[in-house]
Order: sequence, then structure tokens, then C-alpha cells
Amino acid sequence: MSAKAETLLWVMQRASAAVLGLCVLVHLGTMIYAVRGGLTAAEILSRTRGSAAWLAFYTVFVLAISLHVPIGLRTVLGEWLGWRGAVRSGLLFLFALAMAFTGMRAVIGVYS
Amino acid sequence: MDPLKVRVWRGGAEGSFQHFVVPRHASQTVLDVVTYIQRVLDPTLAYRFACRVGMCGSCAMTVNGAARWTCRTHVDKVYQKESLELAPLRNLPVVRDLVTDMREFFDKWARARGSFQGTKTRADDFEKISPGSEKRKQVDAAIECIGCGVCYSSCDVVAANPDYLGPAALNRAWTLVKDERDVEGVERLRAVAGDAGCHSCHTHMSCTERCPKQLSPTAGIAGLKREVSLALLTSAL
Amino acid sequence: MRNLALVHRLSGLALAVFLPLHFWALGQALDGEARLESFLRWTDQPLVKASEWAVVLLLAIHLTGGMRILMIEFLPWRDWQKTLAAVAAAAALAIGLLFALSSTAHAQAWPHKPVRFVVPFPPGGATDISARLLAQKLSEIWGQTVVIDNRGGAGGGVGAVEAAHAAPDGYTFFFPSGSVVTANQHIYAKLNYDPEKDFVPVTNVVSGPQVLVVAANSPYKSVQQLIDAARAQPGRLTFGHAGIGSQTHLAAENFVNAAKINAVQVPYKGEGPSLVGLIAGDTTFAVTNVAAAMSHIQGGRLRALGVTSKGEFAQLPGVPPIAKTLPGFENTGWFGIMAPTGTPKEIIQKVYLDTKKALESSEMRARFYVLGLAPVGNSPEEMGAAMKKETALWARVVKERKIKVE
Repeated sequence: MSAKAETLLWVMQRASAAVLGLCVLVHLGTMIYAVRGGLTAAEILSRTRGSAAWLAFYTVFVLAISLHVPIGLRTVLGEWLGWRGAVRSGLLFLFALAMAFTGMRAVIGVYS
Repeated sequence: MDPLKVRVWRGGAEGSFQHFVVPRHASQTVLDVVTYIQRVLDPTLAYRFACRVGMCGSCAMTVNGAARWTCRTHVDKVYQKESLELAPLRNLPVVRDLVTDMREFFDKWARARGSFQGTKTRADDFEKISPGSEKRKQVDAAIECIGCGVCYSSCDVVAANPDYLGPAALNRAWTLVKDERDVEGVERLRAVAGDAGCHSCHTHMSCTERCPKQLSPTAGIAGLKREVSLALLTSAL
Repeated sequence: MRNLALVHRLSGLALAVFLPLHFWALGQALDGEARLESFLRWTDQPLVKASEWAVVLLLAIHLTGGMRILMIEFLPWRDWQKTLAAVAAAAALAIGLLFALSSTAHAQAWPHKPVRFVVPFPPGGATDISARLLAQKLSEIWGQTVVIDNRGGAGGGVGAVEAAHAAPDGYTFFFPSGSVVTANQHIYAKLNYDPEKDFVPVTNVVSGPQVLVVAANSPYKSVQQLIDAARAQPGRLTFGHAGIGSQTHLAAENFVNAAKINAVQVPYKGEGPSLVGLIAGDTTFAVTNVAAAMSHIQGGRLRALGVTSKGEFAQLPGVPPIAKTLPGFENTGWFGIMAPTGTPKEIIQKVYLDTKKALESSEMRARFYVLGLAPVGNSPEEMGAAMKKETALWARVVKERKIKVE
């Protein structure tokens, strides 16, 4: 991979990390708040259905995770398993797609 | 005082630890111990040293698991539970006994473009650089490296990734990136970016922890990360 | 630092395993409200809850390690101590978050076994019906059975004593009709329980008016006719009720007092039995809860003459309010939950909120509607204030009607 591509991956990793730091705090905070006094499906859905704000938030969250996790795994696969090159890149790309797909499925499920 | 029980690596990549018993003195350094073994007990022991006073870095080796300068390590500091273990520096091929092949260490230095590139000649006037300027302070904080290899030997990423340029080479590259007189510019940034370069540093900070000159290659590498990212974002890379 | 970095990497790997599963599971669960509800109930299991905690811990660890890296890389710190201080600060933040979580976990751990509702009347009456309806829904929400324990007698007093002596651990609640806790203390010379000291309000579940009923073959076809007959034969007409001090007793006394007639009260051991007696012709009339009377009215065994609500009552169209004959007359019965004094506040809050939630479901609203009951679901404070007002009202009626039990 070229210096440019490597640097881009690093930048995306750090940027997604910063975004995720915030998202995780918001998500956990929301969970604490929502679970007070018990949690029902009706309660969750009444908050999220048709809410553009939650849709936007969780979309950003899911996409950031789909970037951050595969790039992080890339280092571990390289250092601990010695995987390099196209095999590693291909697998991780598929993994990123899978996470984005399943994640967005859940986000749409909570929105509509 | 009770004599010292010392285990010393003998052989190359394959080999074993040999036991020696060495008389103990007050204010004795590990280099003193190695010297005694070679001069008195076993002349076939191979080891490196030069200045003996903590200036050249030649005597670096692994003492009780940690890379150190043996001339600057007092026995009192490291002799615990009646054992002193001496081995060659890690992450480098072993020539024999306590001597390693440092070629790869310096080759990586060159690959990181760790040499100064200037444009002025002796006919030109001096470059006037204020020692108090931010850039120069950053350079000064990292410039004192004497290439002893202790950081390289202590780095987990060097151990895991054979291509990784290592803390010393990257630290030197950093001093040049920050040197206003240097003109290598973006070529050097390209050389230090990527899997083999600064992006593989995971801030374990073993280099900073072990550097006998109290340098922080971690800080220099972090600086390189920032510089490279900036170059990418300004389309210079 | 090496060990921190290793822990950061391992926590990252663990999260990399957890997250795809989390996404997939949620995608499956969000296939509709019912599926999501059962998924949420599955997560109530202690093992799942424990692993949720593990994930939070992993996140805290990974975030802390990540913050350390970001700080070293973007803030040109050279100092060891500074880096460690930053890591410590980040760790403190994570721990603070965990602490906040743990204080809610305390309430979430409840209930871990079945919950008992003590109903102080036999089965079949409005109190019992209301309690069972709510219990069914709460059982679904909590994933634990809510058991109804019927203890009739002494106008609700037997059940009250039982509930008052129960351990205030959130596993026994009292489900009375209003009068048991707002009127009995004025009626009975000696009460084995103190409605104000032994119980704390949780929430008023449902309320509804009563209905003045006579047997289907009764000669009286309107409230006025009944009143006229009572005036013509003082002391001859009788009314049955669920027991001295019960809502049906007091509602009837309220009516009799307002109509200024002389009718004799006949106590039964509950609302169900009192209506059976009315149908059989043992008594003349009753002022009873719509819930208990509805099936008899619809089955043609009882005739409704008037409702005790201010205006017409939707569930009994065509039945005029008694206020039409006796201007200003109104009586409302209610059924609610109280807890033995000492029950933890978080549990009380949870029961109130979950009851409120349960009452919002369209299914519950529909089922209570046909019983002539409207959901209330007010807060413990609101219920307490309303009870204070009501007990003052009954103090007056009991005095005027000279209702007394030795």
C-alpha cells in the first residue's frame, strides 16, 4: 500500500475513534436513561420511530464502527498472524461491508 | 561481599547460557563484570565496548531482560535474587555471544532518509536558527541520539514486524523533518509513512522508557504521524 | 505502557467479536414491536445482563487506551507522568460512568422472583378483576409472574393486615379499592392496620363510576321511582354491598344520604356475592362497580337505573347519571397499588412507571373500557394527594350516616 493510502487509513482510524468516543458516551448515557424503571419495546420505538435525529446519530455511529473495527483488525492480523496484502485487505473490506449492512439494517429497523 | 553469579549467552542464534562466578566490588558496573569474564575467565567471550564512560553506546546489551548500556549500569541496581543474566541485544542477528549485527539497524536509518539534505555550500552564510524557536526545541529534544540500538532492541513492533523502521530511524527522521535547513521535504515523509513507518507505532513507549539518553522516540514518531497526515490533507503527500 | 497497549488491543478484539453479533441480533429483533419486546425480555436474564456489563467494561477499557493513544499522538507530550495522569483521568471518567450505571442496576435487578398483589376481596369483584388484568400485563413486562392473593373479609381489613405485615422488599404489594384505605379508618372503631402509616402510595391504577342496579324483574324502572318507593316505605328497601366500608357500601350510603331516604344495608362477603343476592331477590338495589355488574347487565339479569358519574357514562349508553335526579351527586371508585412502608423508592417508581406503561397499551385500555374503568396511572405523590382529599370526604359522610362498626 502506498504511503498515501496508509496515511489515509490511519487518519480515518483516528477520526472514527474520536467520533466513536462521543457516540459511545451518548449511546451508553441514553441506555442508562431509557432503562430507568424498566424498558419496553413500545417505549424504545416511540422514541426512535420517524426520528430523523436518531436515524442520523445511529447511521454515523454504525458507519464509524464499520470503519474503525476493520482498520483496527488490520494491524492485529498483520502483527499477530503475519497476514499482508490482498488477502487481508479483501477479507477486511468484506467484513466492513457486512458490519455496515447489518448495522444499518438495525438502524432502519428502529427508525421505520 | 559474596561473589556474583552470572549467566552469559554463548553462541549465535542457537546457543546457551554459560555460568560464571565473578568477584564483587563496590561501584562495579556490568561492563566491569563482562570485562573480568573475558580477561580472566574465558578469553573466547565476544562483546563490544569503546569509551566505557556512557558516550558511545557500543556496550549496549540485554541485562536481566532489559536493554541497557553496561558501562552505565551498576551491578547493585540489577543484581537481584543472586543472578545476573547477560544476552545480546534483541531484534538483531547475533554474530557471536554478546555481539549483534547492526547493519539492519543502520540500513533502516537510511531507508527512513535519516540523513541531512542541505543546499548551502561553505561559500554561503550560516543559516540563522534561533535555539528558542519551537521547531528547534523539538529538534533539540530528539537530536542527541547516538545510535546505540537500545530502543530498537526494546520495541515490540520491531519484533513483530520485520519491515518496521524502528524508533531510532524514525526519531532521526523527525529531527530532520523539523530542521528548517533540510530540503528533503515530502520525500522523507513518504519514506516514514505506512506499515513500515510511523503508522505502525502503537505507543508502547518501551523506547522512551529505555533510552539511556532520555529521548522520546514515541514523541518524535507521534510528530511524524501529524506531519504526514497534514501532508495528506494538503495534498502534498 | 506495553501492558496497557496489550489490554487495549485485547479489548478491541473482544469488541470486534461482540459488535457484529450485536448488530445482527438487533437487526433480527427489530422486525416488529413484538419481536423487539421478546428480545428485551431475553436480555433481562441475569447472564445476558452480566455480559452487558462486561461489554461496558470492555468499552471503558478500550476507550481509555484509545484516549491515551490520541493524547500522545496529538498533544506533543513527552512526560511520562503527564500521560499517565491523562490515562488516570480517562479511567476515572469510565469508572464514573460505570458507577452511574450501577445505581440503576440496583433497581433493574428487581424482580427476580414472582411478585404478590394482595387483593382484599374474593375473586370476581371489580378490585380482583382490575388486579388480574394489570397483573397479566406486568408479568409480561417484568418476565416474572405477578400472583394475585385474595384475602377477603372485614371490609378489606383482612387483606390490609396481611399486606401491612409483609416484608417491604418489593415482592408484596397491596391492591385495594379506595375505601379500604380512605374510609375504613373512620368506620371501624378498632382497625388492625393504619392506612396512613402502614402503606405508601404507588399508583392509582383505574377508576370508574358505580351503577345503581336492580334485579331485571324489579318494579322500579328509574332512580326517581326507587327514591319514591323508599320514601313511601322507610326502612323496607334494602341494598347489598361488598362489606362494611367497601366502595360499594360507601357508594350506596353516599346515594342514600344524598337522596335522604331510609334504606337498610345488607353486607355480603364481596361484590360478587352481593350481586348474586340482588339477582335472587334477596335485596332491592345495589350501587355497584360497573366492572362487576357489566356481565349481569348485558346478560339481562340486572337493570341499570343510573350511573354515579357526573354525566353519561360511555360504557353504559342510555343509562342516565343519578345527578339528573339528584343534582350534584357524584361518586367514583378507584383501585390502586400501595406498598408496605419501607419498600425501596426505586422499586415503587418502577412499579408506577411500568403500570403507567401497561395502561398505555391499547389492549389494556380496551379491556378496562368494557369494564367501565378508565386508566389513571398517576404518580405516588399525586395518588397520595388525592387520597388525602378523599379521606376527608368519607370522614364527613361516615359521620352523617352514622356508619359504624364496633
